[in-house]
Amino acid sequence: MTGVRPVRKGVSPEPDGAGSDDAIDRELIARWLAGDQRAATTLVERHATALSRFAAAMGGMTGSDVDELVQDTFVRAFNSLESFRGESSLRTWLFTIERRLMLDRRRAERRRPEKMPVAEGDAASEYTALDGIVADEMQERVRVAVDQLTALQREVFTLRVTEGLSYKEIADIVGSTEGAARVHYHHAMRAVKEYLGVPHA
Amino acid sequence: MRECQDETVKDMLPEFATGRLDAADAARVTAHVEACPTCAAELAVVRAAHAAFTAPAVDIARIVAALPTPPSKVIELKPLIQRRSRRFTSWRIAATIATIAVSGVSLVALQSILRDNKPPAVKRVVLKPSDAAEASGLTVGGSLNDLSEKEMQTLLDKLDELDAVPSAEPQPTVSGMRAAAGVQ
Repeated sequence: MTGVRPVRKGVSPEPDGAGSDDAIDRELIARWLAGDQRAATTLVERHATALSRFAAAMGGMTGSDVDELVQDTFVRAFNSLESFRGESSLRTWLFTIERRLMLDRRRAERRRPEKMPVAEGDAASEYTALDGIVADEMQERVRVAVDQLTALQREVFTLRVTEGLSYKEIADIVGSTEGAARVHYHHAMRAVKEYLGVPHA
Repeated sequence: MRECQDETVKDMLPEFATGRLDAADAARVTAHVEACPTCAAELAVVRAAHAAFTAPAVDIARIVAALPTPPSKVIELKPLIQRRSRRFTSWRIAATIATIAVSGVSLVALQSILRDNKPPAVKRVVLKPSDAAEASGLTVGGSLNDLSEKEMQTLLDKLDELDAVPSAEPQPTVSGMRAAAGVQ
């Protein structure tokens, strides 16, 4: 059994650069399915940073929490990589898995009465506090502004500004519609601008 | 601040800041931002947000080590593992060999069954005469457990063929077993 699937071309609605990224991912997946372990390393290297950044931006996690979450995301993804049909990009799929894991963990934490859940506002996160020491003031203020958004607005805003994902991709990840993702982004942008004192036209 | 008239360009600011635009669109955004203070301000926010969220370091090697092996390497083993446990398989082979022996099927026939397939399977199945007190007249060496999955599968397939053929041999009875073992 070869396990190699032909690389699908021309299906990505994304810009050329991102489309070829998808093609590279599909090729790497096919190689891994055919038994090439090195392809797994390349896939992890390509996406680990984005997953780590998204997890940290959502707040409430230590560095080792993020590391563990990213690992779990990849393990889940690779366990069902054979059934990945490439209807969305691998990156979108990984974010979807990671987000689901984050939600599961938050729910599990809420069920544990002995452990106080991290309040959304405080989830300003350890990262915010640590990174703020060296980051410039504007960045620190942006982080505080983003922490004050609703959870969904924060997800949409972060995926859009840190990864440049399209509204369609974001909608797939958060289980919403493209239109709703657009509205959440604009509301989030307006709130961040207001916090920063930037005029919003 | 005057409202921006080009929503399309405004919508491309995150892609622009993250380098996802092609050259033509990037040039269009650059030209627009120079003339539009609203979009210039928004681009500054997007860039600050992009820079604000850094990624904590993750251990790539540890992640890769935790990943499953590619599925093509384990698929061959699945049918056998799902079919029967190894212990059951060994007992079944041993029981069938004993049944064949007491039923009067010659050892030569059994050996030829094994020889038809993989030579290693023949080498590693130890059929040795035991003392007369043992009813079957045969014992099966413990080396069945040392057989590879493939060799075990070959044996099983042959046994399935035997199972499928209605036995022309008499069913084992106590008297038959005693006769086969030479016990009066």
